Amino acid sequence: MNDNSFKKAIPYLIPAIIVLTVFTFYPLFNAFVQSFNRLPNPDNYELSLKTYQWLFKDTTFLTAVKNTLVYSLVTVPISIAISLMIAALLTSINRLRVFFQTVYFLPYVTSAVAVAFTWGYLFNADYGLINQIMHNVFNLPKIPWLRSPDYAMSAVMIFGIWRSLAFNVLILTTGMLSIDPQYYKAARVDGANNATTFFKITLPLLAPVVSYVFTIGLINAFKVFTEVYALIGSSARVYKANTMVFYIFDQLWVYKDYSLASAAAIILLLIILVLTAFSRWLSAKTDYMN
Amino acid sequence: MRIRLEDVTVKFKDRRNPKNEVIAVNHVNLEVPESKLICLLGPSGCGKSTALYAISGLQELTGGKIYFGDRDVTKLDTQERKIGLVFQNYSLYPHMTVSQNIAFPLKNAKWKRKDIEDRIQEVARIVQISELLERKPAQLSGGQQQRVAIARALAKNPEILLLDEPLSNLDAKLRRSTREEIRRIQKTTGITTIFVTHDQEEAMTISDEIVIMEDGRFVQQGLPQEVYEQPANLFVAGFIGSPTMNFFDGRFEDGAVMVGNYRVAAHSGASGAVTVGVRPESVRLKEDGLRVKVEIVELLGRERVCRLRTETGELLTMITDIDTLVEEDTQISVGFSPGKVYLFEAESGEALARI
Repeated sequence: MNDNSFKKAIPYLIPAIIVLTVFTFYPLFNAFVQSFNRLPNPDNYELSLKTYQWLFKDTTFLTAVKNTLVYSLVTVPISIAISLMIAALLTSINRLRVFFQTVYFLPYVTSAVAVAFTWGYLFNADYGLINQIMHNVFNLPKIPWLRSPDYAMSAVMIFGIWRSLAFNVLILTTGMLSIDPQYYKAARVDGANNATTFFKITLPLLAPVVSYVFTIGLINAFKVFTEVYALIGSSARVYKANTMVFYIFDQLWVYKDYSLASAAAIILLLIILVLTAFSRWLSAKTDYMN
Repeated sequence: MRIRLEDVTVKFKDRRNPKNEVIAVNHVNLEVPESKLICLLGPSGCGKSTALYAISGLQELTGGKIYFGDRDVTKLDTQERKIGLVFQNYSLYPHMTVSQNIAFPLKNAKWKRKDIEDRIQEVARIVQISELLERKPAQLSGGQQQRVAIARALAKNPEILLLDEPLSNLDAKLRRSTREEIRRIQKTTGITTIFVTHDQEEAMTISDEIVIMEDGRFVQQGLPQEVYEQPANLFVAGFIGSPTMNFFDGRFEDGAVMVGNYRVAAHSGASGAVTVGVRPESVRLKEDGLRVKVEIVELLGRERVCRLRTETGELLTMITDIDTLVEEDTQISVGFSPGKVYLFEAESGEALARI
């Protein structure tokens, strides 16, 4: 860009620069500085690396990191696999497709807290539907899903998978419908069966969409909080179902330790940055035009 | 492989008004002799692509039967029909290389790896794309994509090759060389081929026989020169030939055919109205002929294309050689070459005679 066009561009950029500075850069910078403050709140400053040392010695934080990693690596792939299946079935029907699409999208527009309430019933140890089926049909012991350190995280993940299906199914269905039907005709002429067509035609052509859904899903999974808080409540830490954002929330509102919360937030930011870079690399790789 | 269509009909439901039916292919019969290249020619929307897809098996029939040789294939699915199909936009799989594209139908047919590799080399040689095998379709020009599409269609050794407007996405120069290429490939492989096009010049140059379609019906089938010289009706006469045939409202009078005051030729036919058709190259200067005004003269090197207007306001085209001097904005008198004037029934458009 030459000098002249840069000068011309400035007035158009100013609104965006102001908004970004006030709402993004300033808080980010603030959190960054705060994360190096040895003292717990921003009234007094004493910069040091102590907060990060404490953070990595805090077993609650380490559990939160582990839970977040497990949650992300389990829910995202499973959710995408199930979503692909549902999307493939949805696109293969003509009648009532819009109806079913709407049904699958409903969880996305309903409040997580309200739905979690329902799922709370489903997971209930004594009368919940899940335990009823496990006990009466498969003769398995009843599990205290939401009140046990062994199962709480699994319950959160099941709920999380179900919640994320809505968005994934919507995007993948749209992606599948936008594939030129000529390719399917060509595949029929070329004698491809349904499985071959799905794995050799649909999936590769859908790869950019899948990588998009994967990235968004992963970033959202790393920021998981609502699902935990709505399903298990504030005692998630006790049941070993706390996640990184839950840890940040706890530090902010329960322990009032802004420095530790900021340090954890910065670590989360770094992880998400790495993930985004990875997914950009992935989407460049899956772009079939190259 | 010989192809035979018996009373083939394809109907669709109108998308906007499901109560209405659209008859895309209307009770057609066709014989395609072995190893010939046949063109299905017609304006857009006449049902020619639907007819092709019906032969390929991608389009279900509403009625009728299709035979390949003596085999009734009406109920067979596409992959069992042993056909190769080239789509209008080629439909090459964009995520696969050229050789993967060609290998795809072979892998599905469970060919051995060695055989697949040999076959790729072989068809690549036939269509001359051997140096492009590792490229992706997006890295190829239109003409190259076209040849890859043909290679993929030929890979499985089909008995019949079907091409749906295969040249329409190419520029004029490439279209000419590619159509010669298709002809060459067809001759080398000796494969029975059906080629769909709306371009009559393409059809005339490439095919052994032309089938002309109008509104879902096959109007005429014949050698290219035959449909040019003996059009079955007004539609064919107007569709084949460029510039198009001139038409006049004529009449039978006193044992002759008259256009205006011009006595075209003696003809002992019925009396009353008749449509007179004459090709631009059969119009020539003649005293005591039809009085016309010269509106535009185009010089095309070898010939002059003249747009003329009769006293009753009808437009006609005349092609003369370059030495015949015709100037714009002058009055001249033209006549029609004997033996080159077509008479059509005024009502139905059926051909009556050539005089």
